[in-house]
Amino acid sequence: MKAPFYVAIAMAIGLIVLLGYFLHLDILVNLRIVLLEWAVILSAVALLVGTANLFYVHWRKFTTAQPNGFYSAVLIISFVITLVVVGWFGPTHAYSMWIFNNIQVPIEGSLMALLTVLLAFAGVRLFRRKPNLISILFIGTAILILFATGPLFGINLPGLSELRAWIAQVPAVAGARGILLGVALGTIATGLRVLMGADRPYGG
Amino acid sequence: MGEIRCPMCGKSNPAESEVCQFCQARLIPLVFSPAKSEPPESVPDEIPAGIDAAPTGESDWLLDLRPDESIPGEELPVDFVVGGSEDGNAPLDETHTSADDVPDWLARLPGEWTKEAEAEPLSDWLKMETGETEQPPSKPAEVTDWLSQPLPDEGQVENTESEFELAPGEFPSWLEVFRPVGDEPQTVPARGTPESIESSGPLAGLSGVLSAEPDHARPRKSPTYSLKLRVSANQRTHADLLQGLIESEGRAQPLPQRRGISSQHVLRWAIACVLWGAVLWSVITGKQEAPLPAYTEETAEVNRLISQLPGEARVLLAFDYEPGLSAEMEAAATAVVDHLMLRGAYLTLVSTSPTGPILAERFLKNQTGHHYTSEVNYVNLGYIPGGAIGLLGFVENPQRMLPYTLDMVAAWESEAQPGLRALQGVQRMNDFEMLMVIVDDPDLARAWVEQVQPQLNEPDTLTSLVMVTSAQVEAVMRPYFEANPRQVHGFVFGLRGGAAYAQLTGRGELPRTYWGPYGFGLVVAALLILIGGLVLSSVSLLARPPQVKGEANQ
Amino acid sequence: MSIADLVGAILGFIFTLLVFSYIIGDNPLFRLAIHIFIGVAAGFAAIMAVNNVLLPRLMIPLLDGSRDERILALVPMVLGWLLLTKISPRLSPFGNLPVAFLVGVGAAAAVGGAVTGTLFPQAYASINLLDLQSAGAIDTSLGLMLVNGVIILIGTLATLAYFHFGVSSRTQQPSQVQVWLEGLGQVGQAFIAITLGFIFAGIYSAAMVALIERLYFLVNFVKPLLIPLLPSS
Repeated sequence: MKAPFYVAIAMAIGLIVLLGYFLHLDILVNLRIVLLEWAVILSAVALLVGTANLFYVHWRKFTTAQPNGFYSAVLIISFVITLVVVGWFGPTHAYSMWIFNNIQVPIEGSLMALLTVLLAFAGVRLFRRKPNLISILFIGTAILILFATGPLFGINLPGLSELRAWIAQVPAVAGARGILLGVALGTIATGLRVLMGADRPYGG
Repeated sequence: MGEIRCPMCGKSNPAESEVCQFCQARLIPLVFSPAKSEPPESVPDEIPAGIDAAPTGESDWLLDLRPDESIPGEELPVDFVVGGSEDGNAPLDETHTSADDVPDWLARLPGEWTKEAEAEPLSDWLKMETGETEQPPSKPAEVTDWLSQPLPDEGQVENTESEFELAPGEFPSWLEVFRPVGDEPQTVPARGTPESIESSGPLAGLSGVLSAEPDHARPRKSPTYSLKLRVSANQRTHADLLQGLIESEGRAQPLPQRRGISSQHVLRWAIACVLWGAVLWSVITGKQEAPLPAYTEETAEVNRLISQLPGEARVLLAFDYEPGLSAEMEAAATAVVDHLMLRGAYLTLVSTSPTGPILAERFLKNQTGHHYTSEVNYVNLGYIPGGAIGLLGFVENPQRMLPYTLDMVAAWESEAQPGLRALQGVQRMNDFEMLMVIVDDPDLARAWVEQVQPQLNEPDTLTSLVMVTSAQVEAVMRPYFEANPRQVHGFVFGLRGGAAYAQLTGRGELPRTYWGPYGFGLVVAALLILIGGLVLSSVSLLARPPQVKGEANQ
Repeated sequence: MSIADLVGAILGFIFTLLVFSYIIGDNPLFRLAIHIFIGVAAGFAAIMAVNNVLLPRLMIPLLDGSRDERILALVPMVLGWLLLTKISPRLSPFGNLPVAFLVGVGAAAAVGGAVTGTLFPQAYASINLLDLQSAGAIDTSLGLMLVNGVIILIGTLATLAYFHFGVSSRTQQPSQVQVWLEGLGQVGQAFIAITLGFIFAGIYSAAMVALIERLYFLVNFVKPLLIPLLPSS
């Protein structure tokens, strides 16, 4: 199929969905709902494509005896066991919850806990660089908020909580609002480029 | 009626034609000097061959054109006509010849053609054009006067040419570098040399004439031109380096072997030992009891809104966090959801994350003191894929997006069935009394606000939107609370917010358990970063060699 | 504690230690734990996609729905099959149509949400910062509110100025506007540094809670094993 056909599809469908934000016509609303439903179904299929690709890559790695093929075998085995158990008994069954609570949650939680050391290490290394105003502001704010977030050895230092609240409500909000507006403008620019056919990430 | 055979294509033309009908070549040659030239006689019908044309008289233009020797700097490289060497890298010295020497290719070429002409009968193409059978070409009956006239003296030609000779341009040295190696200035083949004797056609046997066949018609190997630049050794090294970099780009590089133990490893281990040791000590001993924090405005708003909910309110509860952050999110949300359950709210659970529905089940199961049953007190509608797309679809028509529960039970009210209690009377988002989103990711939180909140802005809408978020989301999401009018009506940020909420309601054991070690751990971490960083920067400052004043000023 | 719970606790204990071993350095045990985690997570994701989306919204309408529902379900079914061709590099061009569909819807949702959900409301909020009437309603000191409002407004504009990328002027001297913008951008950088420092502290706080939860789990697992060994006092 030719590229202009894909562009036309993306533009037409995108236009219908976008107009629904601003116009409230019955036919537009109904059409929009149908398109969104189809998109949701396709998103689920895309998720399946991703997992299938993951399986295929590691299957090839294992069957062609590539380095670290053992880990690929482990991944495939855990994937298949989870598929069978959760698929057969359902996601909320005790067996499924057992796998979730005793394998996925501990590993993910431990990975998150590792960040305490890695982020502290990164913060210490930041001091090695030649300091400028921006880096001092950054690390200074971080240390101050860390001190002020939790109880300071059980002591409530006067003014520390108020300072934290002021930083959270004034300068941090200012920066965050600017970031949000900037992100929104960037999203609009990028989205409009796609809707106008200037960007074609779908291979057209 | 007489016919003239074209010297170019060999086809027959009427005698009176001046130009060939087929190839537009002149059949009657032009006479440049009317005083000296004699009117041309008829061109013989057949192409003469092997004629030794003795120059008896030559017109001026022919004399002018005839060089005595090849013009210096106008010699073709060896590989120009014969197709060059195999790699096209004919070195400079081999191609440069003196003006006195005739290039080998030139000397070779007429001889070859002559030999070929002598050894073989008419070429095939000629036979095809003329339609003749294999027989040697016969001598013409007459030779036209202009053909029989001798060629001009070479000396005169040289003198004439020397008058028009252009001094060879001198290239600047930087431009010389870009001259391709082997790309020598082309030389015009010497005219009128004794060796260039025409071997075919009506001018056969004459020397110093233009070839009957245009150069482009001669079958020969295409000349190859060397594109090699003159590069120095240094430039060659750099070019090889760049080429190596480009070629290595697509190749997977083996991971570099790290040294055994470096100072970075030691620093990381030291940080881990100090930090984890301190927190572990706090966890084991439980000595770090600390007062819960005071509530903030955004937390108080959540408390107020939940307190104002009617009995059996319908609340949409979104579990949109990852299992890795379940510790913080459960600690932050436990007191809030406990408050909802105390109010007797019916909960509808959704998620835009695949593990969200399972986390929701796990969370509710851990809520002690309440006996919430699936499909009675709460409904788990499951997973909405697609991120913002799914959210938009769910906002537009929740029944269509999630028609069944996680256990494949029809959830919504319809003509065929009454629907589950938690969803009775609910058609749109506005029909819920409260939307509570438990989220750990700033982008996801923003997507909820962008897609859901505009619908809640409709007039007569009493639905409030509150969020329980991770501490990392606070900075990005607070502007939605600080807005006027508010887009999010209340927030509970992280464990601090959850502990403050527990302080407000007087319930919630988990945040109290974590609060002491949490504060202790944060303080130790902050001190580690501060002291460790100062020590490290001092060490690196002392280790730096002292700068010379001049260098410092530069 | 049942045997299943005991085995689960042992598994959780082992996996926690395997992941914590990363502090020593990347090692095979850590990689083993990560690969198991990825397999489990992928399995859960695949089942949720099938059970919760494809089955109720595609298969049931096709098999058990009315005529209109079946016709409507045919389109996503065909598009879904085309999307599956993305697995094969040879057949992947056939999947461009559903991808174009998804991209169009996704772009529209992003644009619409950004305009109606963030751009207009947050711009309006910036304007309303100096709304003295609402300050009176909230019972806030007017002076403090004014000062905070000015700081937030300047900070917002300065942050936006920092993200401004303009074409460099051809002349040697930048224009007055560009000089102002650059200066404002420097101020914006300071506000961004504060915001990012706040976010850094927030991420660290979240990680600290995860560490506390894991340490509590380890301690609670080990304590019952150690209690019989402790001398009774």
